[in-house]
Amino acid sequence: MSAAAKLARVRKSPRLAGKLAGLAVLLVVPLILSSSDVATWSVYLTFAILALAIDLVWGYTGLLTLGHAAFFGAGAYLAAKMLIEVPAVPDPVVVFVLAPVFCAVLALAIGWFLFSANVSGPYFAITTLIVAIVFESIAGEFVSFLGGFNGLYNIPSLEVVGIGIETIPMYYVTLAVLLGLFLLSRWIVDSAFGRALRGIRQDMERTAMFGYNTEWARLFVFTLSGAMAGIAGGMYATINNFVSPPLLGFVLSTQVVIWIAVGGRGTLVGAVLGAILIQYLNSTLSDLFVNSWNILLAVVFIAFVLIGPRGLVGLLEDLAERLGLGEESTAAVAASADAEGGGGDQYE
Amino acid sequence: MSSADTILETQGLTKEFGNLVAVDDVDFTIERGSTVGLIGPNGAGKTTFQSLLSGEHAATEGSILFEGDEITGTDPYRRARMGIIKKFQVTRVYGSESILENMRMAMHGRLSSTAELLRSHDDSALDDRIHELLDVANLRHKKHENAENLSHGEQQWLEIVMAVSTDPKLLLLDEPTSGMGPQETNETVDLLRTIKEETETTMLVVEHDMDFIQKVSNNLTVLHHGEILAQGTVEDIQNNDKVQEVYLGRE
Amino acid sequence: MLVPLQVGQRVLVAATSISALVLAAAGLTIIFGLMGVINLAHGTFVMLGAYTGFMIQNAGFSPWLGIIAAPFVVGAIGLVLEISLVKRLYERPLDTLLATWGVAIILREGVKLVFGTSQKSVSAPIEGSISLLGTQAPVYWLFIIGISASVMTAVILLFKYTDVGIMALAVIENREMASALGIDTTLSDRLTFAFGSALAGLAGVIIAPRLSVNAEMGLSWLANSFLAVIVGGVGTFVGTIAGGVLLGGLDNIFRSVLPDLTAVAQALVLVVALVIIRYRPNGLIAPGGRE
Repeated sequence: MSAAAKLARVRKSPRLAGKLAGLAVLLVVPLILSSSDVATWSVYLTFAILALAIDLVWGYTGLLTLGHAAFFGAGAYLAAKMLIEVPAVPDPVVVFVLAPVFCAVLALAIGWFLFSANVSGPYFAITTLIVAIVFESIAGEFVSFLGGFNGLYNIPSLEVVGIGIETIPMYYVTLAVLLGLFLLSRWIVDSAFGRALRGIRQDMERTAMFGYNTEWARLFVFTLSGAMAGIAGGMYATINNFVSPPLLGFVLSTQVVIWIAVGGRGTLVGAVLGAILIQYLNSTLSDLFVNSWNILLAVVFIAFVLIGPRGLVGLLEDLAERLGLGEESTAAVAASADAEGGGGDQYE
Repeated sequence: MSSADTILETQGLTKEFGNLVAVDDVDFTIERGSTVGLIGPNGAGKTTFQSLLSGEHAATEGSILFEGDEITGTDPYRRARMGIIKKFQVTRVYGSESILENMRMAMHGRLSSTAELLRSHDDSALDDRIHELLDVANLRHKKHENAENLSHGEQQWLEIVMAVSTDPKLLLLDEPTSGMGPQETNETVDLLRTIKEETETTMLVVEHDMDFIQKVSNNLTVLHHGEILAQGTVEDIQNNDKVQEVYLGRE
Repeated sequence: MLVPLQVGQRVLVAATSISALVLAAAGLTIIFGLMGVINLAHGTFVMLGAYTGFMIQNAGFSPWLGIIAAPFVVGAIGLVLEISLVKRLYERPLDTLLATWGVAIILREGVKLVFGTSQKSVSAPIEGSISLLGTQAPVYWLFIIGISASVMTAVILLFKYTDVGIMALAVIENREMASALGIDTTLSDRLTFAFGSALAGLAGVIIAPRLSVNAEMGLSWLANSFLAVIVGGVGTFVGTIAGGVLLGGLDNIFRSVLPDLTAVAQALVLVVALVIIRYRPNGLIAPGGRE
């Protein structure tokens, strides 16, 4: 595509423009902030990965999971234990292979246990909530092995081939991982398999009776999502150098769900936007306002639950349309895409 | 009595819901390429019978053979993959998706494995066929509209062509004209006839509307209290005393 | 009969916890089991009942007033919730779940804003102890058990034998017919929901003297109430009582077996509950299997 064509494409698609703008902001963050703030933003990014993972399962496949932090925390704890006690295993292997594999196995087990009985919908939400509660209490109980309520600290930062990765490079590594997993998720949901997921969300039986193996698809996406959360957790451990039981629990799990709902569920970018934006706002408010802020956030959350799932992303898109920044309507976009003979960008 | 051309056969098929026997020891065959009408009064067991074929309900007793293979215990999605595709009595399409998307979602199901699904990003390959089918259903001009904005009848046609798009071997239609007025019913007749001409798909149509069913099928089976009451051509059925009793008695 | 001190103590402790849990869970049986509303703010209703008791005592009034007022206060809050939110979401269970979770957050944070985050203590309306099962137990504990038993009996009788109760059930089971019979279904929904909430409030206020009252206390009540309802058999009071007894009993047994690992003991109860839900989704009392 020529540069002019690319620019035209960006202008035609406010969402793409928005994504690129957001990426640009994230790229310059380390250049503007102090070192400790950069580390904080790296943490934001790891939670954004968790949000991405949950959006795949909830926003696309329709499985509300209120305990997903269990996988994040499991990855974090695994990385912590390995990095502290088995330094012989290279760090990247721990964070990018062992953590996701471990969490994938956990997710596979839990998912299989629940899906094989066709537990879904609200019951699934409640049981995943309980799973998170169980994980958190167990971590809090085993003092010698898992550090109990105090958690594990002094976790070494990521080292590759003996070279420690400093704060700022670590931020870019995390951003790269977020971007990579985002593109992977995008690839999945834009494929025909992504249609299967949407079909499962809207009417699982109808979808199965067109020939889709819906049970396997559910399990696959849940397991993949667990693995992604595991990577995020593993990275968190090396950035924060400290892990504790709440990383596994329901508070974090439900918070992320709220971030996604506010950002815009089922859009991937909404999950990332919601996660980063809300975490940022959380930290810029002084402790005096924390209760009022939580109440405000809860009100916004309820509003988005009531009026529709498209969240902030939806509002921004409507705004862009009103400002004339995109095409007139999705029908027109699709029509022009049709004329070009291709699928075009698939809008949710 | 099955022949080499039998696509589906049931032997002693029975379904009990507690004390209620909805389908009672039914021996039934469908010949390849035929359109069989399954009629009967309310509560006769027609929909239950069809749901036994699709796999939504598990048979209490008896067996189902599809192209010679036993499928009695097979999962619904597997039966769909084998080519048994159903259009539901209460229309089930993806309301918040466009008609075009609905078609795409239906088409991939039976024809691809997970790996193929993941790798498939180019929709244009299917578009020709989709447009053909939408033309037949007279929905092409609305292809970007959300399915929930269609009229009740249009939604039923959509679901029918969605089912046809998967290239089924056996199409199970559950009351395709329910809630339709005479105009729409006639259009449904045309739709099914066109589909039949083009694809020669075998069809099992559950229906109430005698006028409609005789226009699409000359091979009827009457079900009553879960049992086969009579079978034959439209004329046979209309002249059958027992059938008269059952239907007249109900009016 | 000589009952060992430990056992007697344990039994009474368990009995009081179970009594309060059964009350709270009964409220959820009505709201979730019968009406099908997944109310994640139910735990905060228990908490608000406890705080009502605290507020009234703090203002200098008798604890008895707190016990009487709490169900009405929490019932009123439930009513507001139904009118403003729940009624819009009757066909959307997952959205109800999420929205009520948002409400729970608002209520929790609101309580923290007003009362701060310190633990509050509430004193019992009855002083003194009595010798029972080989141990000295506060008389108040007997009151808890007694109140719970009588209220539960009254609730079961209400729904089975009184016009009001039967009509409420009729509205839930067959809205159209009830409406055709001239029953105001909207009012019925509101009152039923408020009644369920009031039961949670009552549970909170009567158990308050036995625990430390803080804004976060609601969560364990939420989890346990849901489990008691689901495990026992969604929609039957007897089932919920059985569920509550089972879970409460298991909790105490596991705790006495693993005295150094209380969190694991609690976790074990949850795991048992999960396994039961997985294998008998309709609960222990109702016939098993889901369509």
